[in-house]
Amino acid sequence: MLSTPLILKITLNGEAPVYRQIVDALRHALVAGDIQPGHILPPVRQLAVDLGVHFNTVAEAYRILAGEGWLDLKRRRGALVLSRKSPAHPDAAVSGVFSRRLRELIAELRAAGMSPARIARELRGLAEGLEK
Amino acid sequence: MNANLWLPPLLILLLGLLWFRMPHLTRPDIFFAVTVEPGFRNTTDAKAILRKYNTRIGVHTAIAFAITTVCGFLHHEQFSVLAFLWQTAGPMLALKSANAATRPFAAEPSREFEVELSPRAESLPGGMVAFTIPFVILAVSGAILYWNWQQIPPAFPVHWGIDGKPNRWVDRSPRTVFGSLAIGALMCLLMVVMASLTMRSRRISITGERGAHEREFRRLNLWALLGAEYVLASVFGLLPILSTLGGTVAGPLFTALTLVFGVVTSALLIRQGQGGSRLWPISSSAKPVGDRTPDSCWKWGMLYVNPDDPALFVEKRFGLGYTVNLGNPWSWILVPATLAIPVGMAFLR
Repeated sequence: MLSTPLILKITLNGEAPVYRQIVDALRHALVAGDIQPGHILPPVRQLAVDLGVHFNTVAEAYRILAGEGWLDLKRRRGALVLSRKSPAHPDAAVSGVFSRRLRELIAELRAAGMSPARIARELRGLAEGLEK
Repeated sequence: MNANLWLPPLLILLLGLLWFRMPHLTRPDIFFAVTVEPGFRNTTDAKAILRKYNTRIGVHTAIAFAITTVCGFLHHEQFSVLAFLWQTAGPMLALKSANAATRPFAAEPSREFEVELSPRAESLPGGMVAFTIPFVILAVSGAILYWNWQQIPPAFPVHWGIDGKPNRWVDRSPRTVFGSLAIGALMCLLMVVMASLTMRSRRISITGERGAHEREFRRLNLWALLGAEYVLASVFGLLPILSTLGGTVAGPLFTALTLVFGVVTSALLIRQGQGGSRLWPISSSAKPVGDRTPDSCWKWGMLYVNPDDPALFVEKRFGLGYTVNLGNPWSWILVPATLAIPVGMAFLR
Protein backbone atom coordinates (compact mmCIF):
# COMPACT_ATOMS: atom_id res chain seq x y z
CA MET A 1 0.00 0.00 0.00
CA LEU A 2 1.25 3.43 -0.87
CA SER A 3 0.39 6.79 0.61
CA THR A 4 1.62 10.35 0.18
CA PRO A 5 4.39 11.38 0.51
CA LEU A 6 5.62 8.21 -1.20
CA ILE A 7 5.51 5.81 1.71
CA LEU A 8 5.35 2.08 1.11
CA LYS A 9 3.58 -0.01 3.73
CA ILE A 10 4.43 -3.68 3.99
CA THR A 11 3.13 -6.37 6.33
CA LEU A 12 6.00 -8.69 7.12
CA ASN A 13 3.91 -11.67 8.18
CA GLY A 14 1.24 -11.02 5.55
CA GLU A 15 -0.12 -13.72 3.28
CA ALA A 16 1.82 -12.53 0.24
CA PRO A 17 5.62 -12.74 0.26
CA VAL A 18 7.38 -9.43 0.84
CA TYR A 19 8.84 -9.14 -2.66
CA ARG A 20 5.34 -9.65 -4.11
CA GLN A 21 3.91 -6.95 -1.80
CA ILE A 22 6.63 -4.54 -2.94
CA VAL A 23 6.01 -5.33 -6.63
CA ASP A 24 2.24 -5.02 -6.29
CA ALA A 25 2.35 -1.75 -4.33
CA LEU A 26 4.92 -0.15 -6.62
CA ARG A 27 3.18 -1.26 -9.80
CA HIS A 28 -0.10 0.11 -8.49
CA ALA A 29 1.55 3.45 -7.74
CA LEU A 30 3.28 3.51 -11.12
CA VAL A 31 0.09 2.76 -13.05
CA ALA A 32 -1.87 5.31 -11.03
CA GLY A 33 0.81 7.93 -11.70
CA ASP A 34 1.62 8.41 -8.00
CA ILE A 35 5.26 7.78 -8.92
CA GLN A 36 6.32 9.79 -11.92
CA PRO A 37 9.03 8.98 -14.50
CA GLY A 38 12.37 10.43 -13.37
CA HIS A 39 11.73 9.66 -9.69
CA ILE A 40 14.49 7.66 -8.04
CA LEU A 41 13.44 4.84 -5.75
CA PRO A 42 15.73 4.08 -2.79
CA PRO A 43 18.70 1.77 -3.34
CA VAL A 44 18.14 -1.93 -2.64
CA ARG A 45 20.29 -1.76 0.50
CA GLN A 46 18.36 1.13 2.04
CA LEU A 47 14.97 -0.48 1.44
CA ALA A 48 16.20 -3.86 2.75
CA VAL A 49 17.64 -2.27 5.92
CA ASP A 50 14.45 -0.31 6.60
CA LEU A 51 12.29 -3.40 6.09
CA GLY A 52 14.69 -5.74 7.88
CA VAL A 53 14.62 -8.21 4.98
CA HIS A 54 17.37 -9.74 2.89
CA PHE A 55 18.80 -7.62 0.07
CA ASN A 56 17.72 -10.29 -2.44
CA THR A 57 14.06 -9.81 -1.49
CA VAL A 58 14.12 -6.17 -2.56
CA ALA A 59 16.45 -6.85 -5.50
CA GLU A 60 14.01 -9.47 -6.81
CA ALA A 61 11.09 -6.99 -6.61
CA TYR A 62 13.11 -4.35 -8.47
CA ARG A 63 14.20 -6.89 -11.08
CA ILE A 64 10.59 -7.85 -11.82
CA LEU A 65 9.61 -4.20 -12.30
CA ALA A 66 12.72 -3.55 -14.38
CA GLY A 67 11.76 -6.55 -16.52
CA GLU A 68 8.35 -4.97 -17.09
CA GLY A 69 10.08 -1.78 -18.22
CA TRP A 70 9.19 0.36 -15.23
CA LEU A 71 12.64 0.78 -13.72
CA ASP A 72 16.23 1.33 -14.75
CA LEU A 73 18.40 -0.18 -12.04
CA LYS A 74 21.32 2.10 -11.26
CA ARG A 75 24.03 0.53 -9.18
CA ARG A 76 24.11 2.09 -5.64
CA ARG A 77 22.17 5.20 -6.69
CA GLY A 78 18.75 3.60 -6.60
CA ALA A 79 16.22 2.70 -9.25
CA LEU A 80 15.18 5.28 -11.83
CA VAL A 81 11.50 5.25 -12.78
CA LEU A 82 11.16 5.15 -16.55
CA SER A 83 8.53 6.55 -18.83
CA ARG A 84 6.68 3.49 -20.02
CA LYS A 85 3.89 3.21 -22.51
CA SER A 86 1.46 0.33 -22.05
CA PRO A 87 0.91 -1.76 -25.19
CA ALA A 88 -2.22 -0.71 -27.12
CA HIS A 89 -3.55 -4.26 -27.18
CA PRO A 90 -2.63 -6.86 -24.55
CA ASP A 91 -1.82 -10.27 -25.95
CA ALA A 92 -4.16 -13.21 -25.44
CA ALA A 93 -2.02 -14.69 -22.66
CA VAL A 94 -2.35 -11.54 -20.54
CA SER A 95 -6.12 -11.50 -20.98
CA GLY A 96 -6.28 -15.17 -20.03
CA VAL A 97 -4.23 -14.59 -16.87
CA PHE A 98 -6.42 -11.62 -15.96
CA SER A 99 -9.64 -13.65 -16.21
CA ARG A 100 -8.18 -16.58 -14.31
CA ARG A 101 -6.81 -14.42 -11.47
CA LEU A 102 -10.08 -12.52 -11.22
CA ARG A 103 -12.05 -15.79 -10.93
CA GLU A 104 -9.60 -17.11 -8.35
CA LEU A 105 -9.87 -13.92 -6.31
CA ILE A 106 -13.68 -13.99 -6.41
CA ALA A 107 -13.66 -17.63 -5.29
CA GLU A 108 -11.29 -16.73 -2.45
CA LEU A 109 -13.53 -13.87 -1.33
CA ARG A 110 -16.67 -16.00 -1.47
CA ALA A 111 -14.91 -18.74 0.50
CA ALA A 112 -14.01 -16.07 3.07
CA GLY A 113 -17.73 -15.21 3.42
CA MET A 114 -18.13 -12.16 1.22
CA SER A 115 -21.53 -12.10 -0.47
CA PRO A 116 -21.77 -12.20 -4.29
CA ALA A 117 -23.74 -8.95 -4.18
CA ARG A 118 -20.96 -7.19 -2.26
CA ILE A 119 -18.29 -8.53 -4.64
CA ALA A 120 -20.33 -7.37 -7.63
CA ARG A 121 -20.73 -3.93 -6.05
CA GLU A 122 -16.97 -3.62 -5.49
CA LEU A 123 -16.21 -4.71 -9.05
CA ARG A 124 -18.74 -2.25 -10.45
CA GLY A 125 -17.16 0.55 -8.46
CA LEU A 126 -13.73 -0.35 -9.78
CA ALA A 127 -15.02 -0.62 -13.33
CA GLU A 128 -16.65 2.79 -13.14
CA GLY A 129 -13.39 4.25 -11.80
CA LEU A 130 -11.51 2.78 -14.76
CA GLU A 131 -13.88 4.17 -17.34
CA LYS A 132 -13.73 7.72 -16.05
CA MET B 1 40.26 20.60 48.41
CA ASN B 2 42.11 17.84 46.59
CA ALA B 3 40.15 16.90 43.46
CA ASN B 4 41.29 13.28 43.82
CA LEU B 5 39.08 13.05 46.91
CA TRP B 6 35.80 14.38 45.55
CA LEU B 7 35.80 14.02 41.77
CA PRO B 8 35.83 10.18 41.39
CA PRO B 9 33.01 9.69 43.97
CA LEU B 10 31.05 12.46 42.26
CA LEU B 11 31.46 10.74 38.88
CA ILE B 12 30.32 7.45 40.43
CA LEU B 13 27.19 9.16 41.74
CA LEU B 14 26.52 10.74 38.34
CA LEU B 15 26.88 7.34 36.67
CA GLY B 16 24.49 5.90 39.26
CA LEU B 17 21.95 8.61 38.43
CA LEU B 18 22.31 7.80 34.74
CA TRP B 19 21.66 4.09 35.40
CA PHE B 20 18.57 5.05 37.46
CA ARG B 21 17.23 7.19 34.62
CA MET B 22 18.03 4.77 31.81
CA PRO B 23 14.79 2.68 31.94
CA HIS B 24 12.80 5.92 31.52
CA LEU B 25 14.69 6.99 28.40
CA THR B 26 13.82 4.05 26.14
CA ARG B 27 10.97 3.95 23.66
CA PRO B 28 7.63 3.63 25.54
CA ASP B 29 6.97 0.15 24.17
CA ILE B 30 10.40 -1.16 25.14
CA PHE B 31 10.99 -2.00 28.79
CA PHE B 32 14.37 -3.36 29.84
CA ALA B 33 15.07 -4.25 26.21
CA VAL B 34 11.84 -6.23 25.79
CA THR B 35 8.96 -5.18 23.51
CA VAL B 36 5.88 -4.61 25.68
CA GLU B 37 2.47 -2.97 25.40
CA PRO B 38 2.92 0.83 25.67
CA GLY B 39 0.93 0.88 28.92
CA PHE B 40 2.91 -1.94 30.53
CA ARG B 41 5.28 0.29 32.46
CA ASN B 42 2.34 1.57 34.54
CA THR B 43 1.37 -1.93 35.72
CA THR B 44 2.27 -3.35 39.15
CA ASP B 45 4.43 -6.05 37.49
CA ALA B 46 6.51 -3.41 35.71
CA LYS B 47 6.80 -1.31 38.86
CA ALA B 48 8.02 -4.36 40.82
CA ILE B 49 10.70 -5.07 38.19
CA LEU B 50 11.76 -1.43 38.19
CA ARG B 51 11.90 -1.34 41.99
CA LYS B 52 14.17 -4.39 42.10
CA TYR B 53 16.41 -2.87 39.41
CA ASN B 54 16.61 0.44 41.29
CA THR B 55 17.55 -1.36 44.51
CA ARG B 56 20.38 -3.18 42.74
CA ILE B 57 21.64 0.04 41.14
CA GLY B 58 21.55 1.71 44.57
CA VAL B 59 23.61 -1.09 46.11
CA HIS B 60 26.19 -1.11 43.29
CA THR B 61 26.48 2.68 43.39
CA ALA B 62 27.02 2.61 47.16
CA ILE B 63 29.74 -0.04 46.84
CA ALA B 64 31.51 1.83 44.00
CA PHE B 65 31.20 5.10 45.94
CA ALA B 66 32.78 3.46 49.01
CA ILE B 67 35.68 2.08 46.94
CA THR B 68 36.54 5.48 45.42
CA THR B 69 36.22 7.29 48.74
CA VAL B 70 38.47 4.82 50.56
CA CYS B 71 40.99 4.88 47.68
CA GLY B 72 41.04 8.68 47.82
CA PHE B 73 41.66 8.86 51.57
CA LEU B 74 44.35 6.16 51.43
CA HIS B 75 46.02 7.96 48.49
CA HIS B 76 45.64 4.90 46.25
CA GLU B 77 43.71 6.70 43.50
CA GLN B 78 44.94 4.22 40.90
CA PHE B 79 42.55 1.64 42.41
CA SER B 80 39.57 3.92 41.72
CA VAL B 81 39.36 2.21 38.35
CA LEU B 82 37.97 -0.80 40.24
CA ALA B 83 35.04 1.35 41.37
CA PHE B 84 34.29 2.36 37.78
CA LEU B 85 34.49 -1.27 36.67
CA TRP B 86 32.08 -2.17 39.47
CA GLN B 87 29.77 0.67 38.46
CA THR B 88 29.70 -0.79 34.93
CA ALA B 89 29.51 -4.52 35.59
CA GLY B 90 27.05 -4.33 38.51
CA PRO B 91 24.35 -2.34 36.67
CA MET B 92 24.82 -4.54 33.60
CA LEU B 93 23.95 -7.56 35.74
CA ALA B 94 20.97 -5.64 37.15
CA LEU B 95 19.82 -4.98 33.58
CA LYS B 96 20.24 -8.67 32.68
CA SER B 97 18.03 -9.67 35.63
CA ALA B 98 15.39 -7.03 34.81
CA ASN B 99 15.45 -8.14 31.16
CA ALA B 100 14.83 -11.77 32.17
CA ALA B 101 12.02 -10.71 34.52
CA THR B 102 10.32 -8.68 31.74
CA ARG B 103 10.46 -11.36 29.04
CA PRO B 104 7.27 -13.17 30.22
CA PHE B 105 5.37 -9.92 29.55
CA ALA B 106 6.69 -9.50 26.00
CA ALA B 107 4.14 -8.31 23.43
CA GLU B 108 4.01 -9.07 19.73
CA PRO B 109 5.06 -5.90 17.89
CA SER B 110 3.27 -4.62 14.83
CA ARG B 111 4.56 -6.28 11.69
CA GLU B 112 3.47 -3.40 9.49
CA PHE B 113 6.46 -1.50 8.22
CA GLU B 114 6.43 1.83 6.48
CA VAL B 115 9.39 2.77 4.33
CA GLU B 116 10.23 5.85 2.36
CA LEU B 117 10.24 5.48 -1.42
CA SER B 118 12.96 8.02 -2.04
CA PRO B 119 16.70 7.98 -1.44
CA ARG B 120 17.47 9.52 1.94
CA ALA B 121 17.57 13.30 1.90
CA GLU B 122 19.34 13.58 5.27
CA SER B 123 23.01 14.49 5.14
CA LEU B 124 25.95 14.85 7.50
CA PRO B 125 25.79 18.17 9.42
CA GLY B 126 28.24 20.50 7.72
CA GLY B 127 28.83 17.92 5.00
CA MET B 128 32.04 15.96 4.53
CA VAL B 129 34.04 19.21 4.80
CA ALA B 130 33.11 19.61 8.47
CA PHE B 131 34.09 15.99 9.13
CA THR B 132 37.43 16.44 7.28
CA ILE B 133 38.68 19.55 9.12
CA PRO B 134 39.74 17.56 12.26
CA PHE B 135 42.11 15.52 10.06
CA VAL B 136 43.58 18.79 8.79
CA ILE B 137 44.09 19.93 12.41
CA LEU B 138 45.97 16.70 13.16
CA ALA B 139 48.07 16.99 10.00
CA VAL B 140 49.01 20.62 10.75
CA SER B 141 49.85 19.64 14.30
CA GLY B 142 52.11 16.87 12.98
CA ALA B 143 53.86 19.31 10.63
CA ILE B 144 54.45 21.85 13.44
CA LEU B 145 55.93 19.16 15.69
CA TYR B 146 58.11 17.89 12.84
CA TRP B 147 59.54 21.32 12.03
CA ASN B 148 60.14 22.12 15.73
CA TRP B 149 61.57 18.73 16.66
CA GLN B 150 64.63 20.16 18.41
CA GLN B 151 62.50 22.35 20.67
CA ILE B 152 60.54 19.41 22.07
CA PRO B 153 61.93 18.65 25.54
CA PRO B 154 63.56 15.20 26.05
CA ALA B 155 60.61 14.20 28.28
CA PHE B 156 57.10 15.61 28.14
CA PRO B 157 53.75 14.87 29.89
CA VAL B 158 51.07 12.74 28.20
CA HIS B 159 48.65 12.17 31.05
CA TRP B 160 47.25 14.36 33.79
CA GLY B 161 45.59 13.47 37.07
CA ILE B 162 42.21 14.73 38.19
CA ASP B 163 44.07 17.42 40.13
CA GLY B 164 45.48 18.73 36.84
CA LYS B 165 49.06 17.69 37.57
CA PRO B 166 50.92 15.57 35.02
CA ASN B 167 51.31 12.00 36.23
CA ARG B 168 52.85 10.29 33.21
CA TRP B 169 55.84 11.41 31.16
CA VAL B 170 57.36 9.91 28.04
CA ASP B 171 60.68 10.35 26.27
CA ARG B 172 60.80 12.24 23.00
CA SER B 173 60.73 9.84 20.06
CA PRO B 174 58.85 9.63 16.74
CA ARG B 175 56.64 6.92 18.28
CA THR B 176 55.59 9.01 21.30
CA VAL B 177 55.27 12.32 19.45
CA PHE B 178 53.54 11.20 16.24
CA GLY B 179 51.90 8.06 17.63
CA SER B 180 49.27 10.01 19.52
CA LEU B 181 48.47 11.94 16.34
CA ALA B 182 47.97 8.65 14.51
CA ILE B 183 45.70 7.37 17.30
CA GLY B 184 43.79 10.66 17.14
CA ALA B 185 43.34 10.27 13.39
CA LEU B 186 42.07 6.70 13.87
CA MET B 187 39.57 7.85 16.49
CA CYS B 188 38.38 10.68 14.22
CA LEU B 189 38.01 8.14 11.41
CA LEU B 190 35.92 6.01 13.74
CA MET B 191 33.62 9.01 14.36
CA VAL B 192 33.22 9.49 10.58
CA VAL B 193 32.40 5.79 10.13
CA MET B 194 29.91 5.90 13.00
CA ALA B 195 28.25 9.02 11.59
CA SER B 196 27.97 7.38 8.20
CA LEU B 197 26.47 4.22 9.72
CA THR B 198 24.08 6.26 11.87
CA MET B 199 22.80 7.94 8.70
CA ARG B 200 22.24 4.51 7.14
CA SER B 201 20.56 3.04 10.23
CA ARG B 202 16.99 1.76 10.05
CA ARG B 203 14.16 4.27 10.07
CA ILE B 204 11.52 3.03 12.51
CA SER B 205 8.91 5.74 12.02
CA ILE B 206 8.73 7.82 8.87
CA THR B 207 5.56 9.83 9.14
CA GLY B 208 3.87 11.99 11.75
CA GLU B 209 5.26 13.30 14.99
CA ARG B 210 7.21 10.12 15.71
CA GLY B 211 8.98 10.30 12.36
CA ALA B 212 9.85 13.98 12.87
CA HIS B 213 11.27 13.44 16.37
CA GLU B 214 13.18 10.36 15.23
CA ARG B 215 14.84 12.44 12.49
CA GLU B 216 15.63 15.13 15.08
CA PHE B 217 17.19 12.50 17.37
CA ARG B 218 19.32 11.08 14.56
CA ARG B 219 20.44 14.58 13.65
CA LEU B 220 21.48 15.25 17.26
CA ASN B 221 23.51 12.03 17.26
CA LEU B 222 25.27 13.17 14.10
CA TRP B 223 26.07 16.54 15.67
CA ALA B 224 27.37 14.72 18.77
CA LEU B 225 29.68 12.59 16.63
CA LEU B 226 30.90 15.67 14.77
CA GLY B 227 31.51 17.43 18.08
CA ALA B 228 33.34 14.38 19.43
CA GLU B 229 35.57 14.41 16.36
CA TYR B 230 36.57 18.03 17.02
CA VAL B 231 37.19 17.33 20.72
CA LEU B 232 39.39 14.37 19.74
CA ALA B 233 41.27 16.45 17.17
CA SER B 234 41.86 19.13 19.83
CA VAL B 235 43.04 16.65 22.45
CA PHE B 236 45.25 14.60 20.11
CA GLY B 237 46.32 17.43 17.83
CA LEU B 238 46.63 20.58 19.94
CA LEU B 239 47.54 19.00 23.27
CA PRO B 240 50.86 17.52 22.02
CA ILE B 241 51.86 20.97 20.74
CA LEU B 242 50.95 22.72 23.99
CA SER B 243 52.56 20.10 26.21
CA THR B 244 55.78 19.82 24.19
CA LEU B 245 56.31 23.29 22.76
CA GLY B 246 54.01 25.55 24.73
CA GLY B 247 55.80 25.26 28.02
CA THR B 248 52.58 25.39 30.04
CA VAL B 249 50.51 22.29 30.60
CA ALA B 250 47.11 22.44 28.96
CA GLY B 251 45.94 19.00 30.18
CA PRO B 252 43.29 20.20 32.65
CA LEU B 253 41.84 22.55 30.03
CA PHE B 254 41.30 19.67 27.63
CA THR B 255 39.95 17.44 30.43
CA ALA B 256 37.43 20.17 31.22
CA LEU B 257 36.57 20.52 27.52
CA THR B 258 35.93 16.78 27.25
CA LEU B 259 33.82 16.72 30.42
CA VAL B 260 31.73 19.72 29.38
CA PHE B 261 31.18 18.21 25.94
CA GLY B 262 30.14 14.88 27.51
CA VAL B 263 27.72 16.49 29.97
CA VAL B 264 26.09 18.81 27.41
CA THR B 265 25.70 16.04 24.81
CA SER B 266 24.26 13.63 27.39
CA ALA B 267 21.81 16.27 28.64
CA LEU B 268 20.56 16.96 25.10
CA LEU B 269 20.17 13.26 24.33
CA ILE B 270 18.40 12.60 27.65
CA ARG B 271 15.98 15.42 26.89
CA GLN B 272 14.98 13.71 23.64
CA GLY B 273 14.99 10.10 24.86
CA GLN B 274 15.78 7.15 22.62
CA GLY B 275 14.58 7.85 19.08
CA GLY B 276 13.09 11.16 20.28
CA SER B 277 10.50 9.14 22.21
CA ARG B 278 10.28 11.52 25.17
CA LEU B 279 8.96 14.23 22.88
CA TRP B 280 5.93 12.42 21.51
CA PRO B 281 2.67 11.71 23.35
CA ILE B 282 2.31 8.11 24.53
CA SER B 283 -0.84 6.24 23.61
CA SER B 284 -1.25 3.23 25.89
CA SER B 285 -3.90 1.69 23.60
CA ALA B 286 -1.72 1.61 20.48
CA LYS B 287 -0.17 -1.65 19.30
CA PRO B 288 3.54 -1.77 20.18
CA VAL B 289 5.87 -0.82 17.36
CA GLY B 290 9.13 -1.57 19.16
CA ASP B 291 12.31 -0.87 17.26
CA ARG B 292 11.80 -3.29 14.36
CA THR B 293 14.21 -5.85 15.79
CA PRO B 294 13.19 -9.20 17.31
CA ASP B 295 13.46 -9.55 21.10
CA SER B 296 15.10 -12.96 20.72
CA CYS B 297 18.17 -11.40 19.07
CA TRP B 298 19.00 -9.17 22.05
CA LYS B 299 21.43 -10.78 24.47
CA TRP B 300 21.37 -9.46 28.04
CA GLY B 301 19.35 -6.53 26.70
CA MET B 302 22.54 -4.98 25.37
CA LEU B 303 24.02 -6.96 22.48
CA TYR B 304 22.18 -7.32 19.18
CA VAL B 305 23.08 -10.44 17.21
CA ASN B 306 20.92 -11.05 14.15
CA PRO B 307 22.55 -12.54 11.03
CA ASP B 308 19.21 -12.24 9.16
CA ASP B 309 19.04 -8.46 9.61
CA PRO B 310 20.96 -6.56 6.90
CA ALA B 311 21.30 -3.49 9.18
CA LEU B 312 24.73 -2.86 10.69
CA PHE B 313 23.65 -0.07 13.04
CA VAL B 314 20.40 -0.26 15.00
CA GLU B 315 18.94 1.75 17.87
CA LYS B 316 20.08 0.64 21.32
CA ARG B 317 17.36 -0.92 23.40
CA PHE B 318 18.81 0.28 26.68
CA GLY B 319 20.66 3.55 26.47
CA LEU B 320 20.74 6.37 23.97
CA GLY B 321 22.04 6.16 20.43
CA TYR B 322 22.95 3.26 18.21
CA THR B 323 24.73 -0.05 18.49
CA VAL B 324 26.26 -2.61 16.16
CA ASN B 325 24.48 -5.72 14.89
CA LEU B 326 27.08 -8.33 15.84
CA GLY B 327 25.44 -10.77 13.44
CA ASN B 328 26.47 -8.62 10.47
CA PRO B 329 29.86 -9.72 9.02
CA TRP B 330 30.99 -6.05 8.80
CA SER B 331 30.83 -5.86 12.59
CA TRP B 332 33.64 -8.43 12.71
CA ILE B 333 35.87 -5.72 11.19
CA LEU B 334 34.37 -2.70 12.95
CA VAL B 335 34.44 -4.04 16.52
CA PRO B 336 38.08 -5.30 16.51
CA ALA B 337 39.15 -2.05 14.79
CA THR B 338 37.49 -0.08 17.61
CA LEU B 339 39.10 -2.24 20.29
CA ALA B 340 42.50 -1.83 18.61
CA ILE B 341 42.54 1.89 19.49
CA PRO B 342 42.94 1.50 23.29
CA VAL B 343 45.50 -1.25 22.63
CA GLY B 344 47.43 1.21 20.45
CA MET B 345 47.24 3.86 23.18
CA ALA B 346 48.61 1.41 25.74
CA PHE B 347 51.47 0.60 23.35
CA LEU B 348 52.39 4.29 23.17
CA ARG B 349 52.76 4.61 26.94
